[in-house]
Amino acid sequence: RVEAGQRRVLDEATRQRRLTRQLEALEKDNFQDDPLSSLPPPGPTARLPAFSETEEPEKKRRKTRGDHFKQRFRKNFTTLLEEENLSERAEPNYLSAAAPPSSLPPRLFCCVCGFPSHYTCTTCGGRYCSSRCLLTHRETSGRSEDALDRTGPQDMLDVCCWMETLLSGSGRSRTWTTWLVLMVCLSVDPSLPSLQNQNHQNQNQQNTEVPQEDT
Amino acid sequence: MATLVLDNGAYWAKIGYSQDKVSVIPNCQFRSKTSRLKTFTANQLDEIKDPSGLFYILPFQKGYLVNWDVQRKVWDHLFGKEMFKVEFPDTSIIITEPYFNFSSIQESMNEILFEEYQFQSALRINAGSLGAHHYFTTKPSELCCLLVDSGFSFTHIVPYCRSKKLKEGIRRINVGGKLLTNHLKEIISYRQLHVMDETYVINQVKEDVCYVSQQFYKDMEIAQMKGEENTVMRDYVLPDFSAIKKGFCKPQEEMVFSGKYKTGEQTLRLANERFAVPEMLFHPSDIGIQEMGIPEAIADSVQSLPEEMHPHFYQNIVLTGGNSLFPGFRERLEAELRSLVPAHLPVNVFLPENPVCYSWEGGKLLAHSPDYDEMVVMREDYEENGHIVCEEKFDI
Repeated sequence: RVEAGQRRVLDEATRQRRLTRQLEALEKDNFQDDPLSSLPPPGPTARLPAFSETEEPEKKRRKTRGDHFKQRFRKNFTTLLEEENLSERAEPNYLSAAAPPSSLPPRLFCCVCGFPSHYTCTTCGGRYCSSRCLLTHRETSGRSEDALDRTGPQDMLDVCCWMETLLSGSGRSRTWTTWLVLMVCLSVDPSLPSLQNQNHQNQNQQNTEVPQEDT
Repeated sequence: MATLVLDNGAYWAKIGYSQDKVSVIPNCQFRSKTSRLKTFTANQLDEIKDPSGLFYILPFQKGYLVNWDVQRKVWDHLFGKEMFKVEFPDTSIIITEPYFNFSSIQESMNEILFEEYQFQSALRINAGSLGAHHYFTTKPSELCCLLVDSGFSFTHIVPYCRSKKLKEGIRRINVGGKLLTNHLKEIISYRQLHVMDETYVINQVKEDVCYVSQQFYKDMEIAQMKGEENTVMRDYVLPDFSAIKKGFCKPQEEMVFSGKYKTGEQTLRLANERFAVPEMLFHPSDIGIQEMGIPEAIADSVQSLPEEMHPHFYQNIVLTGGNSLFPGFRERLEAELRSLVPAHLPVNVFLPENPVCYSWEGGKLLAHSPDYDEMVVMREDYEENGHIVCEEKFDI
């Protein structure tokens, strides 16, 4: 736990991990869950539609090859990239076409307001432009990123306790805390035993019954 | 025999018969919070009354087609009775693929086109090659052109010489429309209002309000001013899907600088976000992506090619793709290039009227050209010889 007087300094590896995590989050298609996955499962009386052979006899039915089909057509991007690496195609190829790093120095912007910044936060390396932005930065990004940095569920109780104290605060800090609560909830794995009572009752059953789609 | 031209993009599918006009249709499926059981495909988006919190199911990941289930469902809808009513045995298809497409995706595409849909013949080609074909047809005197395709997933810079792409000059910047929208969502969520779920709405905000600034630091100073002097700031009225169906940017005369609006609508106040977001195309290092921006990548790409070709490339730069629709994009790119390129070489950047459909139009011209029949692979050919035929004939 970090107190005001003992602010720790994050090392380069953690900073790099945070940056990678932020950049990966930018690649996501959706930030919310699939609306279909939160529905209750179909009851015992609801029958799933069977593959009807009498539907359109005149049209040639396409050859669905079952397992081969699923195996072939459901690879995700990382798998394809690994295969491509292994095949070692001659240059120029996908990897060599990536644009090299820029030769210009990076421009630095305040992480709170977005205007050009001249100063760096000593803890995490985030940029800020004025002391007001530094205050906002310390209030907001410190805690949720700390929670994400720690791996494993043993800190969930800590985070819940902290959230309770924050939500009991007043006025202005409420908007920030609401945002934080959302950020932390998004990062929490719903299968954790400590939170199962609070999340949707059926969530875990959903994930095993509804066929997973590659989104 | 009809020819169907399909520019299969990661966000929009541009599709149409070669004698008709193009239709631009979303290439994905949607699910909405209000009608959870139903999955909307492609242009059924118009049937959704409440696009808030819309859930996107995209077949593409990082610009490459990985989810064939979703793609086939979209294609079934497009080729079916409600849309283009394709007669497969009599139709030839031109379909586009990204650069350096993985071989397993190419093979899957062959299988699906020939064995499942059973088109009579097919041509798989890069979208940029169709764009280059369009350019060379409209300007027959030019030998080379440099195509900048800035789309949803990434931006490619591809040099073409006599209608053939030069692979060693291709550069890929992993910044595209998706990144810009997600970044805009993040900064709005941090500074004003939680909109992380509202991809559809914020995409509309980005298209309506963002522009590319010509003097970045000067615009930053103006955006910091207060009151009427801040000409950069705009208020955007968010849709509530009952009274206000579609969001819009409030005109400058009606803006109230202090206090709330009387009408009680939800607004976003955007100042430096307007031009800082498209700036990522020019400087990906702004958010920490270690890649060069578009002007530098163009210079890098042309540098890697033989020196006598340099003037030809710099004089024929063509912009395609959705991101080139930002106001001020073309002028800014020309200005930045002018400072990077040696002074004796003229620089000319061409922005077509419709950059999104430019490649599709190229496909239409290609379908009518006399060489078309030699470029396609017939289904009988594929069934006899397999993937080898496609590998040799198509230059992906």
